[in-house]
Amino acid sequence: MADSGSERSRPTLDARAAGARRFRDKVVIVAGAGQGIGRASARRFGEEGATVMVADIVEDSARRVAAELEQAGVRAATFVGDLCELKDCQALMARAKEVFGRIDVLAVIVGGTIWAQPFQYYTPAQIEAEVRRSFWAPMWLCWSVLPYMIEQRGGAIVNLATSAVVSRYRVPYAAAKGGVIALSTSLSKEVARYGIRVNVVAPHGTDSDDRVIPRDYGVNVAASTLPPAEAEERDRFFGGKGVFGVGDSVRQEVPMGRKAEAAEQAAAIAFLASDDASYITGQVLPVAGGATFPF
Amino acid sequence: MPTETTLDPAAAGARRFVGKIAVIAGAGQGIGRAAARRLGQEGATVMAADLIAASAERVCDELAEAGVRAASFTGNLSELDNCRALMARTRELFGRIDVLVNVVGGTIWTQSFQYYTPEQIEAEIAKSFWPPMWLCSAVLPYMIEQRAGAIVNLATHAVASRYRVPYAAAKGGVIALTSSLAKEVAQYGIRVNVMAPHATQADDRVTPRNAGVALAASELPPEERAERDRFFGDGFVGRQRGEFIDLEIPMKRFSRASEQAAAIAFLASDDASYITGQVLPVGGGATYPF
Repeated sequence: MADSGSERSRPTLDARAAGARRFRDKVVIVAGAGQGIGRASARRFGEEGATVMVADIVEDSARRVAAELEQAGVRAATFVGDLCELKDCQALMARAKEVFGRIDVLAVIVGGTIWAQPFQYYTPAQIEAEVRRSFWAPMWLCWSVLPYMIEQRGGAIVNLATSAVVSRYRVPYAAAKGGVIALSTSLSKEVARYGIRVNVVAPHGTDSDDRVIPRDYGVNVAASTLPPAEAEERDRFFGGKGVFGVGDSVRQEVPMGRKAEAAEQAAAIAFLASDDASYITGQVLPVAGGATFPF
Repeated sequence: MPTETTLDPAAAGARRFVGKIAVIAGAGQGIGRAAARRLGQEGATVMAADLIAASAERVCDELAEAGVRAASFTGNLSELDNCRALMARTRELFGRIDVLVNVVGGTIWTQSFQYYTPEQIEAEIAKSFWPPMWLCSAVLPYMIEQRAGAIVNLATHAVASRYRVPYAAAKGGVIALTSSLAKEVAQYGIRVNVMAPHATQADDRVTPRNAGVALAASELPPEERAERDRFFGDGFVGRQRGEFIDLEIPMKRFSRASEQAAAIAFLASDDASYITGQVLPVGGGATYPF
């Protein structure tokens, strides 16, 4: 621990790392790093010595996170783009390679339900928007990073799923994430021979006190009007009008009876991305306070 | 305090277990020893428990030499009385029990189910089902009183493989023990998880698989024996490549015990503070059915 003396004096990005430096000399792309789980992941990777490419759809958010990292002595850069679009994903990878020379880790956080309502109230346009955000982003990001990782003969990808696959009010999002699980499990079998690992973290409800953009950011689709009784029931489930508080969802589904901190999700993402998981690929790790996960 | 590379360099400087007391049941060799080294590397005080006194003491000495506070306990952890004595002794020496890692277990024989004798089946269940059951039962009063704790049990990829039906069934039971117990004890701040290894190199094996088991092996017909040996190669050592590696493992290699220990340490640490009741397969990409 020769260098720990000087490191102790820098601002701490994530105390949970407890001094670990598993990502020294590693280049990590966090897609969707502007807030919440993505930002927490960027901080955890940075804390452990990674060079971080902070990618987000919102420029201010990406810049804020990169500035946080740099202030703590972490090498970082930003990329701003819509990662539901293949060409933006390809540009992200090209840029990371250009700036940092390689790509060791890709953490795909982009995604998240836009609306919460029974399936019959989703309009076709809403369903397409959900699938675009939560299915296509991981698909294109994985596809875009693969040539680099295959050439390197090494790499680790972590995708995000969700406990919503066995919950309610988010059918299109749940279906998209079911697809992301299968993308990960089948891709992992193909790329094991290149030394590339692909895993999934499946969060339950997670506090994101740092949310700066609304769930429907950049989505030009109107919300549905729910019958009052339906809206009331939904709000009870999620514990308030804002998605999401501590409501019946947490009480019924989560034995720990609380939401996760974003740093708890980041700890699992960092584990799967690190050499600590060198014999783990194609797996889904639920980080869900004990909720039953069906996959 | 151990230097960064003394016991397990994979820790990369992490000190997640500073001030924590960890009981490793089955710490004498293989995954258990690797787990003891990893937790010790990260600052834990370790109680190394094993059936074989010499193995427990060897690991305890390794840790102590690296500056880790450690003690050993010798006993047959298939017996409830010994499990209780282990917990009482740990509490007496170290004051509390933060982590329990149950590595005790492992198949004794490998053969098709019809060649297992009833006595062999009972021996497999005694070795792989009862230790986690009794160890969890014995530690619970301490962890409930503390209102905190983390338990990591071991399962196996054998649940979806061949030639180890009694062992597989025992470990299926351990999974259900874990997932249902997790729901009951979440309210006390106790987490219970399972790590499911696939084939793992244990170059340090000193105790044979049938230690303490006074039962004869079955006579297998030559054809059955040949097929079994093709499947495993030369046992689990991996010098002669078994068919199962190519059949079951996309990474096409054995794991190192330290790779299993890394996953155990993750689940036992605060990095997994929102994870309970889960099975984490460490299987080189093998499909896991639970």
